[in-house]
Amino acid sequence: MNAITEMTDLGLLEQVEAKQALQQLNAKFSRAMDRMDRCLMVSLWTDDGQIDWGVHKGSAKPFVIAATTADPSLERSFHSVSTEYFEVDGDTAIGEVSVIIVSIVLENGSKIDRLVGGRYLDRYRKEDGQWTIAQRTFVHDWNMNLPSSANLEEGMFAKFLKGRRDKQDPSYQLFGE
Amino acid sequence: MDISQRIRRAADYQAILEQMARYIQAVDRCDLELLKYTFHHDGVVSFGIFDGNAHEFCDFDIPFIKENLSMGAHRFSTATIEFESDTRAVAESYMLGNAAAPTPDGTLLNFPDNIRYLDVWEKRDGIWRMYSRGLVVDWNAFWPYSQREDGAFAEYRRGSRSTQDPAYALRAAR
Repeated sequence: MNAITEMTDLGLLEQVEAKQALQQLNAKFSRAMDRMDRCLMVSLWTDDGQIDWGVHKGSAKPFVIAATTADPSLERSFHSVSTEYFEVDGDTAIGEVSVIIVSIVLENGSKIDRLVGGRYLDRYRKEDGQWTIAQRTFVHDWNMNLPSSANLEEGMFAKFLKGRRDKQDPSYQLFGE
Repeated sequence: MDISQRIRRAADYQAILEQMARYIQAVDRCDLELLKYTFHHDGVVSFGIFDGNAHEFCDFDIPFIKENLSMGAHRFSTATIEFESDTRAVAESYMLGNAAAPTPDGTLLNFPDNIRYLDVWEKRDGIWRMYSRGLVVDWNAFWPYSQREDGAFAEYRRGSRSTQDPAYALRAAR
């Protein structure tokens, strides 16, 4: 880590810009996962990106395909990231980011609320002006599994827009495709 | 962008995140004035249970929360912010909330929920505020209420839905 007093004004600005861009990269990863947006997901990785995500170990490419392919047993997902911590060194960076993943999973004909808490341990690279993920390790810290008790359609809840894991999600009206 | 524009863009990004935080503070403290501060006067919301002028929504929402929830605590994260110009941005943010509400027979339920906010932000007179905010529900649950008030729990400072909350003393003491 460089002491702030040793850095030039431009160097400081570049650090702040890099950390903001890495925060955006992580938010877009959540968007790509939760909307199953393959174009967005592909754009977030270096061409030689590596992953360790449970059953997926090695090249990120099979993970990218699997995570953005419809899965009838996964009805909803919500990857909330926070506690973003980054160290930037020129065009490379490392990061640790907390994630709480909430999903509704179909298991043996029942709906389960699955909450998973963990962290991403990452290496990032800036390529052609864009920060991308070169390596991501998902560290599992805890999980909870409860019978689903969601009410998304009855009473007052009928009135809300609902999230979807595809491009019919209302967010595409804001961001475009 | 030149250096000056890049500094301003970085500060604009922070300013939008801070307003997103103020919205959450305002809802949890039932602070009507602070809630209105996050919206332009001609702002609009599309919240399903309320579609219309944002300041009228604020007037509706604060009493709605007080009447229907015995407790509410929100936490936003995962903000995607895309600038369309120096004075306009679109944004999505995730919200993980926890609330408690009485059922018709008076039993309290714990009611966690996940939603997303879909926003248009505009900078006018130097201040970023929402021109519009939409709401998308992703998940909720209804769990037995298990909050305890005894022992060590009774010793903690408690949040309040008023300016009695300790956060106001912190800001007042600056």
